[in-house]
Amino acid sequence: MKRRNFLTIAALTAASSCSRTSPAPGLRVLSGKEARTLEAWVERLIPTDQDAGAREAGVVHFIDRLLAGWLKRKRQPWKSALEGIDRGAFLAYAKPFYELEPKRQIALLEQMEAGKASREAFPDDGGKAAFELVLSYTMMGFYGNPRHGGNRDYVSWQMLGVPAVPVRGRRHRDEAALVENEKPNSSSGKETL
Amino acid sequence: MSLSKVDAVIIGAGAAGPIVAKELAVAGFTVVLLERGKYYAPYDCLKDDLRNQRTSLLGNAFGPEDEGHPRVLVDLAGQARVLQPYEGGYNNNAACVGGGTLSYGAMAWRFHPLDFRMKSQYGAVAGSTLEDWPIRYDDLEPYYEKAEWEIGVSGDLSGNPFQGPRRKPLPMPPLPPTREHLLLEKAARAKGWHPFSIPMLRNSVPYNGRTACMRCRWCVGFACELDAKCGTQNTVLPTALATGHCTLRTECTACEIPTDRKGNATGVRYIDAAGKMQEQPARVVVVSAAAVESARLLLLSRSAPHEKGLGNRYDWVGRNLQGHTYTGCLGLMAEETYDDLGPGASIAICDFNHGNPGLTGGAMLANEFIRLPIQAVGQRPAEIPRWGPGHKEFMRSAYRRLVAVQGPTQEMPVFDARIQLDPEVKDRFGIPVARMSGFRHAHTIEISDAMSKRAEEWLLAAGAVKTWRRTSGRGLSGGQHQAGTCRMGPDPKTSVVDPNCRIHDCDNVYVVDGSVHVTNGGFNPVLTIMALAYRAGEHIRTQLGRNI
Ligand SMILES: Cc1cc2nc3c(=O)[nH]c(=O)nc-3n(C[C@H](O)[C@H](O)[C@H](O)COP(=O)(O)OP(=O)(O)OC[C@H]3O[C@@H](n4cnc5c(N)ncnc54)[C@H](O)[C@@H]3O)c2cc1C
Ligand code: SF4
Repeated sequence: MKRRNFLTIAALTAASSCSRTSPAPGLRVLSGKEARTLEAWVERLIPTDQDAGAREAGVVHFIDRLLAGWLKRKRQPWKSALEGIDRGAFLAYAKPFYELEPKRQIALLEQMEAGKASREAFPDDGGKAAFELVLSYTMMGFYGNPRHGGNRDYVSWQMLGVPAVPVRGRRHRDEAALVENEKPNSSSGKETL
Repeated sequence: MSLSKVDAVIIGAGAAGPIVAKELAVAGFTVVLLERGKYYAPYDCLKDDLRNQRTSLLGNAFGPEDEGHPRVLVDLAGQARVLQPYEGGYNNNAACVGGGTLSYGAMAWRFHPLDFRMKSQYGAVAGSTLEDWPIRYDDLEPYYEKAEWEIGVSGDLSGNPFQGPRRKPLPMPPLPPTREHLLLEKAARAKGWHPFSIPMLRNSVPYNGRTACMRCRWCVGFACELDAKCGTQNTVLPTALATGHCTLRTECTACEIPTDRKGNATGVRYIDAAGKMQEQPARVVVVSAAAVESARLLLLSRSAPHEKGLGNRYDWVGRNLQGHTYTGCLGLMAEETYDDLGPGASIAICDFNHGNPGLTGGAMLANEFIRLPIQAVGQRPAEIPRWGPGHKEFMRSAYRRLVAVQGPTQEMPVFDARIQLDPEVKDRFGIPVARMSGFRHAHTIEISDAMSKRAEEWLLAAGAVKTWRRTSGRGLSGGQHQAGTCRMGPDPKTSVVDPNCRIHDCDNVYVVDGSVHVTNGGFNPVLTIMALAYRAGEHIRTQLGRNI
């Protein structure tokens, strides 16, 4: 590995570990940088075209909420995934993932899917597990119901032509969940990845 | 201090337990029904696309709870993994009052007469413990009828020539057909097959004091907010409780069946909702905890007369775990078929349950339940990318034109597909958990592949412009159709319970659930489980009446 790259990574890692002291405004767990990386990632998985994509659907928000709840005790793989993809981007192009051109982002994701990304970024499996993790939660955040903070305004269901009918017994729960969703970030800063 | 003695204690308030409870309670016998899960009312229906009994990506809506209830799965390579209830391979059904019947798809199949006589019909299959049932279709027929009328089934079987004789039609007509139904019906007729409306434990019209289905999108895997789906929790259980002779205790987990010196059960030890160990004495014990947990409970119940576990003298408890191998085919239609009408599954054929040259059995084939967007994500042909613009375009253009046909392939039982107690892993109460290991028989895969081809033929005849078949791996089966672990048979050396569901070497312990199935038919199992429960209930009632 080139010395220049190594230094940048070391600097990045050091910088990111202090910037992770508190979650970004509006989020519960993810730092600003982590959220940007994740947003660029999910945007490649379900891109915006004539219809909304993962970004507009609030998939980052969905994952962030889960990291504060369902995934609370399973945060480590997310941390490794977000660090890994940035390290991979730096090794190849000396830039963080979210600053890469879409073509390069896609190339890196394809390598990860095939388990062939740099072992320096993903020592165990060349990025396969990280890729599958983010893919599965992106699908859930995009196509699932909005209760958990994704599929904002039912954008994916609109795309598919599936009406968002109010169902008795479901509605009051969805509404309660949406109110919960809008709560401002009150985290003390301990809730980081 | 132990509780006062009752006539019967029943473990598990799923498909089977409440039926036995009702049969005993209405005859005046005292019953305690223990259920490890909670009670949910219809307004607790929790319609959550990501957290339900079908798509448990964020957990199960109706149990078991996310933590504290692990199981161990040994894969084909011999690798053991600890699994939580929301992970694939856990083989979850449900843990709540009603068990699987609170949230099931509610197909209500009788097995075919030949399903009880597989070995006589087809001969032995190498590497399989394939056997005849000790009872026949005719023995169960009156009890099938009872289940259909008491729990409530809609549908129209008149167009199906491949079924056993029945004395009464179904109590309710089918729901009106969907677009998909009409397309498939025409296509099947054109092929010379015999399509008909699937029997369903669902009110198509008001029945039993409950309203009719409003055809929502969230049915299989969800409870019904209208209470239009018929389970044990809204039928036999209220009847049992109304007698005043039956007590339901929820969040109570049975952990042992203690026996006396002769080896007969004295009652059940369980951990109550407060985490306290209790002992409920009873004259009779009925185990209805579903195939994985019933086997586990028997193996946990060791005593001097039953050194290897209750009913396990000849090492048959936990063996022959089976389910159904679901393969089938997807088709992309030229026109939109999606009409947003639940429950979705509505049309079936039984032309291929038997009589397939070279194959030991087959499967009923039916269209699939309505697909929620998240459930459609994996349903793509191999050349469509899993993500990116190609994925999105496929979902956008195909979602409303996708039709799936599939069926529960009858499996060849495997002796080494089994439940044991894990030597290390414990649940939240410190009790050894189920360790599941084994594989699917190669012939099961052959049959299911042949069924996928039939499904494909059907879709092509219905005008599919593209089709892609599903295949199955060799990994262990079980799942929501789990069965077989306490085989019924005449010989104590090669089975666990007798034809009345009573454990061979014990006078007063019964297993009543899918565990006793010798083979699991080419049909979803619940109506057979219910029929067996009515039949066993009647037998137990007679026994209790006799030995006062
Ligand atoms: C989503 C879904 C869809 C389905 N669709 C269909 C269908 O369309 N047609 C069909 O035929 N079948 C269907 N099934 C399967 C069907 O529900 C099961 O076959 C049936 O419920 C099994 O009945 P059972 O009594 O053996 O077990 P269950 O219904 O699983 O009941 C067992 C009960 O025992 C309890 N229990 C377990 N261990 C203990 C213990 N130690 N102490 C106390 N209680 C305990 C459990 O919590 C559970 O409630 C479906 C199942 C699901 C989940
Ligand atoms: S489809 Fe009918 S039975 Fe099923 S949940 Fe909806 S209303 Fe209830």
